[in-house]
Amino acid sequence: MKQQNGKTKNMAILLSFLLFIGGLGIANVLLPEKDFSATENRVLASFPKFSLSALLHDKWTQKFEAYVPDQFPLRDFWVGMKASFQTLLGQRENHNVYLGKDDFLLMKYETMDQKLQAGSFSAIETFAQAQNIPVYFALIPDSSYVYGDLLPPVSLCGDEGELFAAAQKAFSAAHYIDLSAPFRTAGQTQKDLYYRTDHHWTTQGAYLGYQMLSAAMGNTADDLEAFDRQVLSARFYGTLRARSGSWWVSPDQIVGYAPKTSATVEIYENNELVQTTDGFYAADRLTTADQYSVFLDGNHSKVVIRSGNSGKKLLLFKDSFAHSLIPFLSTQYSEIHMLDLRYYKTDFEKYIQDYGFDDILILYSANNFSTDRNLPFLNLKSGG
Amino acid sequence: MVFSSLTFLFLYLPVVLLIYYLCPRKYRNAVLLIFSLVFYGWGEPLYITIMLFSTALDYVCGYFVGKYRQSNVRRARIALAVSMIGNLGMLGFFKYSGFLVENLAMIPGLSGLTAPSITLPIGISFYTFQSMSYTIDVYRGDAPVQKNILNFGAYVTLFPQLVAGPIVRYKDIAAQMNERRETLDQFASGVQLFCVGMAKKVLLANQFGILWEQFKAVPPSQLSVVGAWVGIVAYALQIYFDFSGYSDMAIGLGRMFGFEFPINFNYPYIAKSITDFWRRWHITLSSWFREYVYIPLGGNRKGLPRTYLNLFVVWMLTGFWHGASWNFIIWGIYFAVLLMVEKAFLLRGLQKAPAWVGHLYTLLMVLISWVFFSIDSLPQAGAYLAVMFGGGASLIDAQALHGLLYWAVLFAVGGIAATPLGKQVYQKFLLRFPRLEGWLAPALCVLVLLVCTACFVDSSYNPFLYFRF
Repeated sequence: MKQQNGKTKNMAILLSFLLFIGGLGIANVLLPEKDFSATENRVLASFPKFSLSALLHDKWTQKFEAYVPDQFPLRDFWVGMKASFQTLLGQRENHNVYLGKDDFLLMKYETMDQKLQAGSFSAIETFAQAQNIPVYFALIPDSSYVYGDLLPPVSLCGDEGELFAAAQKAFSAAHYIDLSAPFRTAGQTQKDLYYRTDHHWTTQGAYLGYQMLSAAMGNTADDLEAFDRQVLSARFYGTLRARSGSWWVSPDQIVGYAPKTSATVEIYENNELVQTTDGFYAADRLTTADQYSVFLDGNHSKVVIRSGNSGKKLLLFKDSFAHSLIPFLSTQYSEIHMLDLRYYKTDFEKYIQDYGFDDILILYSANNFSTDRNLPFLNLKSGG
Repeated sequence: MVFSSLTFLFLYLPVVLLIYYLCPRKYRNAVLLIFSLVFYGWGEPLYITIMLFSTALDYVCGYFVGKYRQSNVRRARIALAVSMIGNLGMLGFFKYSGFLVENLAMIPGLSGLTAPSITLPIGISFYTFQSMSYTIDVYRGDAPVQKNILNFGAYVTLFPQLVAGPIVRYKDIAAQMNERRETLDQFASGVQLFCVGMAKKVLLANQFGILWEQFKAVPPSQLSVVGAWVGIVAYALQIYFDFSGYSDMAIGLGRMFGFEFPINFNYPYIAKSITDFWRRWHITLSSWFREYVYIPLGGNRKGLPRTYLNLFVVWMLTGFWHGASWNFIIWGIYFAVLLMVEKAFLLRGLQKAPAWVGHLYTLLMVLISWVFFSIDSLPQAGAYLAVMFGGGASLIDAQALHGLLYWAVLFAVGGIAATPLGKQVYQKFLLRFPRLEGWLAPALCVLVLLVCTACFVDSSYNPFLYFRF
């Protein structure tokens, strides 16, 4: 009887093992390849073509090792299981995302490299010195700074405050606008300045930014009631949820505040106008995984917003945080040129002369700024 | 290829098992040989040639050693010498030439020498030792000559233990190479051991590795005292679970193909002395050195001074085997000194003292040794040790607290898994609930496979620590 039990047990072990490795192995081979992972927002590796020369000279085996996990069945399921396992061990961080209190996800900030920081600051200062119109520079604090109390205890998250303090002292020609203090103060009571599942500020956060920027730039901010509120998405799962694999957190909402007078939005790629739309929202983006792109259709190298309000023109160097701010800013400028330094590089001095701007604003989130290496391109000279 | 990857687990292993068991018995070693070469060549296809050369060399040398060992000892000795020079020469060229040149370049007049850049073929430290053991065993009459080159090739290249041991001496496995019976019971126990090993490697070692990296990245001058201890304990657990996990997987895989390899670890962290520790840590390596170096040098049979000298030589070599740099030599000599002190008087003292004294002393000495092992710059290692013994920037800091707090569960699980306690609890549990006996083991295996697969998908690239040896 005992021996019989042993046989059954061993048979069960053998079968479950073989079924597991064989079944998933066969599924891995037979399932059709996917080109793109929406949750990860990247192109997946495909089967590397085999040849003897690829094997000997072109690291075929390494490409194969990259292909297998990328095309593994139920990829998201496994990533979620790993995240749950990590949580079960009592850990509160996965892929540099903290699982904060109240299911609030916060991006880890790594203290900015001092050399990079000095280089970026001096690029902005040099750029400002060369202009005869005001150059404003503002850093948007991230949720880990504003909602530091939501971070897990002793989290080892870097302190963006060091970056803000350094920025306070770094400029004379450029006007540095501090957003960190007002956001921290507002954050005490307002818990909706940032998405719980995404690294961006919410439209409410952007409105606060708009108020602060307006005051510093000599503009008048409209009341929030002056804009039409609409829920753009009731189920928004952002980048931090995707990155951390914490599928269990509940969705955010994307709210839009549209000004009474709308605007036309011109989108350029490689300096060519590819699309002109009325209004600020790209509704078709709401059916993709990257719903935040509903604002101005996501990242493009150059976007021009024409509103017909007042007569001032703004040149804006920015990251994606600016996209939800634009509807507010559009009430103060007739024309906004929004450039992404990562993709748009030109002789900006000439660009400024060509279009005749009144204000220049450089606006980045602190976390993006801390790793961005493109600011020196502000001082690019043609032919030089 | 590494065991802890999707490619191995879901493509390579099922295919090898399928073809192996479909083939008639007489072709099975050939199947293993071919697939082992694929396994080995996966990282660098060209290095298959080194493997084939090593196999051919020892096959031929072994043949002549066997032929002449009774009729013409001189010729047998020449054949043995060729084998040893060939193997040690390869090891020396690939692993130690850079180190040698670097140190020679420090001599005035030789500073123009530049170290050649040679990639270390994986597992070379393991398989050269393993195939040398064949010619030596044949020479000593401990094992018969292997006439079948496929069987011999399968022995040298056998993928389960090819890259990180256990180092199987030829005489221990000679009979199995020619004839073995795969059974259900052995296969199932192999699966279980493989899963245990994978859990150790993926679920424990890798997690402790993440923690250790956090401490290693900080200059010692900024570490706190508690932080330095948390860091080195994490490293101790990482290296134990990494290496013993790999050995368990290797032994488990061996069983799936009908082999019985010797065990490599026996709860080293419960040792009562360093002497005891080295009977429990990397057992196949220390017995290789005992069998083929220490005893031929005279062991402890030629008087006390000679015994100490032999110990010193063996442990310096053991250290140097672990890596071509000074910190490994220091690490080896450190153990030589401890073993001598224990032999001289300490062991007797420890036997009289309460058991906890021995445990505490051993753990302390081993932790200190890991500082030298893991930090290859000697001044850095020295600075790290100084922090451990009170020279830290502070007693405790946020980093240390962070490690203690978020790895608390892992430290508890790891602490239990590093002692026989876990196994005892498991067996007691089964005695208590005998009805669970039939399905608990399969369920645990599947659970481990699930979570490990999740970890592989989550991070696809994760090389073994022992790959640089």
